Parts: sequence; structure tokens; C-alpha cells
Amino acid sequence: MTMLKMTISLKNLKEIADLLNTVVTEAKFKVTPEGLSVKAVDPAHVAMVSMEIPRGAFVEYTTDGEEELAIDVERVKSVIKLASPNDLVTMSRDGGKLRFEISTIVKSISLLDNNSVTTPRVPQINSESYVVVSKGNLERGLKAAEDVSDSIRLTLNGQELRARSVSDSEESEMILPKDMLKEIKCSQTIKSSYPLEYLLKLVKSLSSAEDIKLSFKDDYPLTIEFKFGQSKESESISGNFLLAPRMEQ
Amino acid sequence: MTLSGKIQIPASLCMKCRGGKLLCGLSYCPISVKLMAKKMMESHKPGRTLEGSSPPSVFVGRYGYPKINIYPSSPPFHGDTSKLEKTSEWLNMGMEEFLSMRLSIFRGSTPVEVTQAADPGRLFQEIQLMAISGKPVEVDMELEKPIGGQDVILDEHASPMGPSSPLKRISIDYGAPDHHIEKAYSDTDLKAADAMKYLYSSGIQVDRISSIISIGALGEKKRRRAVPTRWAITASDKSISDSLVKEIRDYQQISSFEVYVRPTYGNLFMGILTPSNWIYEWGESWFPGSTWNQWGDHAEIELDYEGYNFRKDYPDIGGCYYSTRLAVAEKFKSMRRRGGAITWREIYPGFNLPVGVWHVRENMRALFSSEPMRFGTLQECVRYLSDFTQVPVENWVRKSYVYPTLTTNNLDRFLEMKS
Repeated sequence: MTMLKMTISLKNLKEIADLLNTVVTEAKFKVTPEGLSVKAVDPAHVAMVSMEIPRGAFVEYTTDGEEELAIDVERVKSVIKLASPNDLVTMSRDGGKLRFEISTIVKSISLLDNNSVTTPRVPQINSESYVVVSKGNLERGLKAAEDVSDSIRLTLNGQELRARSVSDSEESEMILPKDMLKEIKCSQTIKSSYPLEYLLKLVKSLSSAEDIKLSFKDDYPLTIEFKFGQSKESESISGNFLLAPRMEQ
Repeated sequence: MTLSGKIQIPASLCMKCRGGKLLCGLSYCPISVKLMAKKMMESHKPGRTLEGSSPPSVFVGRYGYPKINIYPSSPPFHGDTSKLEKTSEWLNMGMEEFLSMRLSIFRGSTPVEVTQAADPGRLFQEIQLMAISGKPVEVDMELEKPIGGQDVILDEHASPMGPSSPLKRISIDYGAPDHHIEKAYSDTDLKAADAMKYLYSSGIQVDRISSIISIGALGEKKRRRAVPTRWAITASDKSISDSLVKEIRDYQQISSFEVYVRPTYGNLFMGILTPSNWIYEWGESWFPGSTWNQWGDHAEIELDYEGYNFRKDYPDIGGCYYSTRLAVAEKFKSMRRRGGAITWREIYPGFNLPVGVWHVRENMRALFSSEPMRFGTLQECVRYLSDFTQVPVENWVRKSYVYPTLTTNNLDRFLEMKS
């Protein structure tokens, strides 16, 4: 068995756990000397998350080999609830357990059987068009639609982003003109619908993000890239969500 | 005794029909029901007393909640009356027999506060003990008003019940409860959800469990409450199916799609089990009234669903959502396999008497105990069902949540796609 010890800020660990937890309750990390990586898909195969946590994102990171670590994400969330905002969390492998040291507390949780947690295959998704919007604006638009329908239709052209939901009796629409968008790259009109509950959950889980980059094309998975932690490339945690489109009926 | 006053049928129609053709468009003949009920109650002389063997049966009303009425109930005759409360035996009865049987259950009422279940007075406690009794209970009631003549209760959740009168006095000769029920009743530290789970895994029928939860005889002592019958039925269907689904979610997946079809009088029940993670929907399509010329035209579909992590709110579609979910979970549990489920029901003109969610639960159980057709794709399953449905199957698919989620609305289909 390999040796593994890693120390990370509570804030980053919490965000990692929250991001994963929007999609799954259990996840399997790949551990290499370069850092951790994880991929997970929700049980209905509608949303997927991939994340890289380079060794530079840790305050301390020691391992002498490669291994897999299957973890109950909800248990991790409940353990780190014990920490204060500025705490550092040290995790080390202790046989079949993951040992947490948080300030004055030492706590161990069981690791899961590696065979019981599968790592999904990730589709090759590539959209040329994208838009960067402020998280506040996007969340407001999604919340407005929440009680109207369970899906939301995004329409992007060179001039604006629209997010619209309709039911038999009601509708809700957010219109963000170009001057309210941080960035836009789109040469023609593209449209695609997405499940609202998932989308809202993903956006909410990006707690440290100010802006959200949405890439998509007609009836195609939505990619939301994220990056947090240190700004330096080798120290920042990065990844993306993929969200399956809802086909219009 | 009168049936609910909403039913008005011209006498000329009845004379032509004589109960044989159901020309009125109902799924039962009200006159036959009345006659059969009368026959069942021959021994009962209308009056202020009622003697009989209670199955046991206690109804808990919901009007005025949390100040409600509880109704110890009994037919006016003696013997093994247990089938009057055993929903699993009702499915194979004719509608007239079923109704007349249920309408023969007379009810004495007494007002309580729901919270009194935690520390009941003598009468309330006796009624609790009556409800948990393992065998029919001899009761002798003295009532304030002569019984007979009142309207009967037809409620879409609870099973139909006979007339009632406020209770003056009751003597109950209750027997010993089943060993497991006794244990759950006397364990005042056991949470209600755990108690229900325990009773279910000990082989107690879910309709018994809901009647025991309803009289406030389960749960942590201080939190015991009387729960209106209709809420208790759904609470126990939900709670028990929750724990079953949590259990089956980790089993190995079924290997193909399984389609089950059950046409019954006035109804079509359908189920597709899917080789996937847990995902579930319940859809109902009610045909408009009993107007024959609208047959097949404007049947609206209502549907509710959940993903792997269940629902957060109560489904608009009502209690049948959970009674069907229980039947689905039981099926997976018996196979020791996991999967998802599409469950649909069509209700045809004439089937317009609310008989209670038991009807759906028992029909869905019967549905899943039949031999399925197996298919490799969901498209084939739906094509097969199109031979049975009166609603165009495309309408079902358009309203479905599970169908698009497992076919088009997921990431799997992008796996092989070149970007």
C-alpha cells in the first residue's frame, strides 16, 4: 500500500466536495505524484463532472505511488463541517480508512471498495460558441424559471443570451444583452434546452466563481468550465461540468 | 342507506338495464350494491346499538384537523370479518360485492386531539388496542343516533365506509396483538419510520401498518399522533417504499427491459422496468366522464416522477404515486435486482367511483407478478404497449420523464459521437 498524506485549505476542500456532491454521493479519485483527478456521472447519466487537483493546490502533498481512492463524499462533507473557515485539513490514508486532522480533531472515515464505484467514460464534447456571464445574473434567470418548468432553453447569438422557460400557462425569460455579458463568442444563433434543476444545482455549487462560462451548440451538451483556488495554473483546481441537453418534444 | 347524493340516474334507464349492462356508465350498479348491502346486514335491526366482530377496523377522519374524529367500526354481524380490511383479498371481488361489504362497516365516532395519541385517555387507548389486535374484535357500541340512513364515505384515498353516529359507549373485547405489532407498539423509543420498516420486514401487511400508524400506536412516545386514514395510507406507502428503494438501488441491474400489461375492468395498468439506476414515474390518464362519444379523444395525462434521489415535494398526482412505487420496489426486491420504472394507468369512462389507493397498489402488485415481455430497447417496449393503450402511445411518451431521460436526454449518446 502506498503512503498518502495531503493538506488543503478547508475552503477548497469544501468546494471540491460540494461540486462532486451535485452529481454523486460517492466518487473515485485517481492519485498520482502530480495530484488528484476525479470523474463522476450522476445516476441518470445526465450530468458529469471532471476535476483536476494538482499537487500545487495542496499545502502539503506526499505520495509514493499511484492508487485509487473511493470516497463517500457526503461523509467528507459532514466531517469538514467540524472545521472553522480558516482551518487546514490534513488527510492521510490509514489502511482502509481516510484519516482527517482538523485543528484539535482527528477523525477517520471508511474508504469505499474501489470496485463499487465506477469511473465513467467522458464523451468528447467540443463547442466553439460560448458566453461568460456573471454568476449572479445567471442564477437569477434560472431561479425565475424554477416554478415555471423543469427545463430551460438557452439561445445565444452574437448580440445576446436568452434563457427561457415555458409551461402551458406561464413563462419566464432572462435576456442579457451584449453589454451585460463578460465575453461572447458566437457567429450564428444556437439553441439548446437543459434540465433546470441540474443546471441550478451546478451553478450554485460553484461557490467561489464570479463568472460562469457556458459553451454549447444546437441540442448538444452544455459545458461549464470552472477554476478556483490559487490563480497560478499549477496551483489552481480546474475542471468542467457536462450537462445533457433536453430534446425538444 | 343512501349512496352519496351525487349519483342521479333516470329510473327509465335502470328499468332497461336491470343491473346487467351498466347503462348508467358507472362501473357498478348502485341498486345491486344497495340490495347486497341490505342482505349482508339482515341481522342488524336499525337502532342505537351495534354489535359485531370488527376486523379490526378504525377509521380516522381528517375534518377539523388537529381536532378530528376517530371511528371504531364494525359490521353488524359476528364471525371472521378479517377480509373486510384485507385489501389483498378485494381485488378479485366484483365491484358490487366489494362496495356492499365495505358499506356494511358501521362507525361510531368520538372526537380527539391528534396529540392525545401520545398519552391517550381510557377510551382512546382501548380503541388503539382494538386497532392493533391480531384477530377480529367483538365490539358492542351504544350510539347517539340510530344508525342507517346517512351518507356513506367515498374517498379517493381511503376505502369506502358505511354510515356513522357519535359514540355514547363502547365495550371492546380485544384480543392479543400480533407479536411484532405488540413489540413496535410498546417500544416508545422506536421512530415511526423505523417501526413501519420493522413491521413490514416482519411480514405485516401494509394496510395493517397504515391503520396502526393512523391510530397513533407507533413512534417515539411523545411524538405519537393520530393521523387521518388517507394521510396514513400514503405515509406508510411512501415510508416503506423509501426504505425498499434505498436497499435495491445497490443491487445488480436487470439485464433487459421488462414490459407488464394488465387490462382490468375500466382500467389498463402498464409497467416497464428499465435496466438503469433508480428512476421512476407514475402517469394516469383519465378519460372524460362517461360520455361515450368522447371515447379516446381528450384524455388528459397527468404524470409525476423522481430521479435517483427521490422527490423533495409531494407529487401533485396524489397517493397512487406511492402505492405504485411500493409495488415497483417490492418487485425489484423480490428479484434482488435494481432498475427504474415507468408506470402508467388508463382509466376509462364509467370507472368513476373513488375506491381507494389500495385498488392501484393491489393491481400494480398483480401486474408485476405476471409474466413480462422482454425487449432490448425502450422504443420496442413502447411499440408493444401501443397495442393495448387507448391513449395514443406517442402522447404517453411525450409526457414521460423516464423515457426521454433514458433515450435522448443523457450523455451516453454523445460517447461515440465525433465532435
